[in-house]
Amino acid sequence: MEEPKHIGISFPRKDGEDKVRGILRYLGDKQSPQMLHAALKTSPHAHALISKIDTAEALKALGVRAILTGEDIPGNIGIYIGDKPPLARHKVRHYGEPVAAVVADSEEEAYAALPLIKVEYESLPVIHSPSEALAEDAPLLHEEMKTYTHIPAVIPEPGSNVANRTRIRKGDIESGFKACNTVVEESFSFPPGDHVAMEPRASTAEILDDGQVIIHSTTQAPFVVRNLLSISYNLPVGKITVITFPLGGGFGGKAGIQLEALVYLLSKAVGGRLVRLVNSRENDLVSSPGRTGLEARIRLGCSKEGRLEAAEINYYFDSGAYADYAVNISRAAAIACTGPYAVPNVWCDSLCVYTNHPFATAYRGFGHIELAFAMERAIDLLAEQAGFDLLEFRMINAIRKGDTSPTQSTMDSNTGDLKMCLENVSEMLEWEKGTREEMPDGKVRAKSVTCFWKAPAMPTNADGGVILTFNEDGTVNLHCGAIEIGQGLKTALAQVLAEKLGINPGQVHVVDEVNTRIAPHDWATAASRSLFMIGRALVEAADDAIRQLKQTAAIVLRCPTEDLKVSEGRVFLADEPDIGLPLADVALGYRYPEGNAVQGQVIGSGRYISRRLTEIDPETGKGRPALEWTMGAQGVEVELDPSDGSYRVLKAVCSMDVGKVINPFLARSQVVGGMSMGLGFAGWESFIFNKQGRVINDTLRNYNILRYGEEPEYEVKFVETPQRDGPYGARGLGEQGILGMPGALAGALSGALGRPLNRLPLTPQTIWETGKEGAK
Amino acid sequence: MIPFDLEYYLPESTEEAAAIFAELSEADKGPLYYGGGTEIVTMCRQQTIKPGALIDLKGIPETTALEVDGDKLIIGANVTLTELNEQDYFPLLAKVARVVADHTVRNSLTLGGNICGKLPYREAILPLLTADADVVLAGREGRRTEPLEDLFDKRLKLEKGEILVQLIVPKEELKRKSWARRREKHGPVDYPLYHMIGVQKKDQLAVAVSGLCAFPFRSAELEKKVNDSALSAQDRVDKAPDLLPGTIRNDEIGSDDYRQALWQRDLAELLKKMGGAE
Amino acid sequence: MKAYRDIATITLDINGEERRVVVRPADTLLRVLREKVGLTGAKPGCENGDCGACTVLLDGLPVKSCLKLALEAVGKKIITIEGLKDTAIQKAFMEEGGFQCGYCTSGFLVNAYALLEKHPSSKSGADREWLESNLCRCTGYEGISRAIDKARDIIKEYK
Repeated sequence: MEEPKHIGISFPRKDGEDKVRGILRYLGDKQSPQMLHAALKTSPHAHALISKIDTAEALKALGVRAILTGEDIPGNIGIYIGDKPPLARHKVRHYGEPVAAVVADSEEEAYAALPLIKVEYESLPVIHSPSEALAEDAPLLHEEMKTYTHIPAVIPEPGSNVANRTRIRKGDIESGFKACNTVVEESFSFPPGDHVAMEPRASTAEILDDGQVIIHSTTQAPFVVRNLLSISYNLPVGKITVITFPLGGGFGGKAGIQLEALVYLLSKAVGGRLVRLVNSRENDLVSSPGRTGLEARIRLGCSKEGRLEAAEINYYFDSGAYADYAVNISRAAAIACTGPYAVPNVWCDSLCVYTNHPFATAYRGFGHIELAFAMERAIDLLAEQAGFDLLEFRMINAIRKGDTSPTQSTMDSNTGDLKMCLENVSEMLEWEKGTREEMPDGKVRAKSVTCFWKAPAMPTNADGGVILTFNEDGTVNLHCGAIEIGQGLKTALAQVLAEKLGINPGQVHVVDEVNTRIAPHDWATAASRSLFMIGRALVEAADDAIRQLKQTAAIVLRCPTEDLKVSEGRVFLADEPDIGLPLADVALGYRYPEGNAVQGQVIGSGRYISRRLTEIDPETGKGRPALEWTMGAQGVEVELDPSDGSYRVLKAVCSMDVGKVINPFLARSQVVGGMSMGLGFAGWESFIFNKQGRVINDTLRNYNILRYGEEPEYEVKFVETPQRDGPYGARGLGEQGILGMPGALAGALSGALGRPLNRLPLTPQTIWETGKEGAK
Repeated sequence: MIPFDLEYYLPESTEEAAAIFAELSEADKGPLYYGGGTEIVTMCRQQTIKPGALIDLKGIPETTALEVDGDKLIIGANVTLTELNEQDYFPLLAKVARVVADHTVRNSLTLGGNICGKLPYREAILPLLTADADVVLAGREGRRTEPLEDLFDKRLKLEKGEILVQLIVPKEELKRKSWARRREKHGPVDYPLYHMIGVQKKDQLAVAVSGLCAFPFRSAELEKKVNDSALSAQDRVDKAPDLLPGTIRNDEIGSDDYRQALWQRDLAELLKKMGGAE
Repeated sequence: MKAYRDIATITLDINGEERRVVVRPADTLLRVLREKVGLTGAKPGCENGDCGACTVLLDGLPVKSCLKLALEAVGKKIITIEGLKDTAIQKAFMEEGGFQCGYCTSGFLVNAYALLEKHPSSKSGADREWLESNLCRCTGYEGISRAIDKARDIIKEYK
């Protein structure tokens, strides 16, 4: 086989020029004079009955065209469980929940009307955490849970605050613990937070006279939006068009259905006129969904040789007020509950629990960052107690081909080489030189290591498709339903196509905009599955196009198609390369000199649907829900000042088995971006609540994310154990860089402090307090 | 984005400014003097304030002055924090100005705006308090120059409609030995846990602090204790919290315990560094 | 004394062009650039002065245009991302991966451009001091930091 020309090459981003010139248009950049603008009135309470909403004065305000409240809108929306009214009805369940929406001629007028809406509330007791939600006497947040529609894989428990419970029962947990030499049991937790994509969410809706509904939205899942709008509002799916431009970041926060439903209803309220709703940053942080919090309790045991024998795991996911997406996050965490380790006996209950926090949706890592933090902390504690080096202990237990996952499916020959990843981390951190060092100035340096894994958590029939069309000059247009959200997907796809067609990636034109009426169906740009699934569809589409190109050329060149080859922008006889035609001559059909034309244009199409996935058994979790596992190891080196708890991350490293690197530069960027987000997640990012459950850091002034100059030195090494069913052996890597970082930061700081830090965020004050307790 | 309408005036003298302020107040327009705008525009967007008119003082030349006049440094209230950071006359003010908000914001944020703002920190006042600065104020009644100390109690006490024109710092105060420490919850762009400066004045150590209490302060009682040579440095540090002019803040940025512990440590370091100890 | 009591016509000098625009006195520079002039490169990321995505230059100095009234920009030279063409920093951002989603990019570029104008040669504390005014969620800043170094190299070579 020939050496690939465009795979493994750092081809420049397709969208780069436009982005550095500031001319790439995001949805919020498009406005037109006929647009009406919406603004949201939100709840200052975390849990309260709405006793009265008076909109009379606001309706009289200049430019106001309509106001909707929850009472005006029937039904709920939600992707996996339909539990959320687009505007709060009867009661509010979280701070920032929208209670009314104003439509006005301008955005200014819409916002100016908000203070004129008078809402009276009657406070209710607030649930601050999953453990409070699970207490015997906890107030019920969703009395009507029994009536909610949900997918079969989700098992709500009406009469409680449990929106979903997923069970894993593998082996025999009690005899597993009996075989253990050392057992630890500990709790771990962190509060919810936000994605903070730099582009706030936005949607527009218009209903045409013939009933067509046109939605523009900053969504990672236009087809999901279309489908759920159709189901929720009884609209023929073919009458709905959802259009998405490139996104200014998503990180999962723009998956599912969000503002689209409300903006559709608002358009309906003003006779179908075009209505635009753009989140303020405050709304984006607390009114639109963020990420889950977690409480975990883990009991973990190993043999004298350091082999993990038994894991008893309780994950309580804090999904906040609504669980529309989070029910699948807790499920994903159950499926992967142990992390990438071979554990013969596993008992896990993973619960998605309602609280009065802002609600959660998908977030980079999707349950796996949560479980990785809890499990990696538990592994550290166990290894320390059993007297093992933290890296060696992970080497002993790293999952391999032939081992079984928590869902009892056997790891196949595509399983990544986790040991190699660990060796790379060891090398990058100079593990053998020691993992803790006290500096002359009183500061302490310490290192850590963690492992992670992730499989896409998606419907068993998740799919993707590609259509290729050609231009007069022989260049190709690549259409698919996946969204460019900054990950560089369309550049990587252009490289795959260029490789297949033997052209330059510059001759592939990618289509930025996704329009559900034009693009082939695509599940969603989520779960780090786009390169894998769209890549597979693209390979099929390219083969289809090549077949058609050869067919046309075979007629003109008067030869069998099987003797032809497509490469370097030509189709030619493989053994007589001089005899051939440029793609430009055959791509739109061949025209003979006298005028006759044959064959017509080449339209390549390809599709992919997840292979042989099953739902898991509701009692034992047995099944094959994972398409492919991407795994790896990470670590950090920190310098802590124990006297005040301040610290700096000196170095962060990651080694990941990605099957095949398509574009090294983009791949590294994705991983480093994930790592930086993971450090923020662990160190300082989370909502801060007051006693009434209000979020008191709902601006970017006090919701901290990593800033320029705070970044550590990053080092990334890829391992390439081919994913044999992936495009050129590649598997997903967009999310994974984040996964091990919280555990790694907590591990290194625990090592430096000499006291376990099991709660996030790791603020200097928390570390200082933990150190002080230890000194007592 | 400011959702409501307002009027905008750009006077060229303090007299003009004071007159239009009075006129607009009379007409119930709730006017506000406007400097860099960084706080006012934000609060207008959130509709936590709704002034009917803004009177931009940046058109008044003396408010943008930054010059030495004889034995005094004159600092116009509309000098930006970036400009203060880049001047060499008053190094401690340059240093303190450098850590408020972020660099881009400091290109707009003015000294007067920082001092007269609604936020509890107002850090730029600290070096002016320890330097015994005077303030020049102008209003309908004309102008007056007063010691900052007399006018500053938790906040600058201005008469309604009065304009902060300039701050005047005696030349001998400009290059005194000083020490400053700012601590944050996370990083330099954050609001401070506290920001403390110490200045060696002849034989006394002057101390001013922001962020520790609900307002910035320079306290005579605290300074007396800090300079009490009858006590050991440790004793002075131990007693210092009792002499604060207010309770120590306990909020999402930091607990009172954490603030106090760090502050006392830094006070000890200040005493050591400034030769105030023993 | 200039007084604007209601909607007014003003002239702004944007990227070297004189532009007449009709504004409300309350309009921020960001909104006027985006909605009245059609220059959407400066982005609203928070409209609270926290994220820096709306950064433009006023007489060469970076400012957060969400916190400026358009009226304050009268008589000043405004440079937006659209006014930067083929600069060293834009080239370096492309080559070093200074962005992914691109939403913060205009603000970072404009700020970094001004930084390099002021500190063209040596890497100094100024880099962090200036650029911590902007937030990026995708890159972890590695690519941005490399791009600043690279741009300095390009500028040096050019000289």
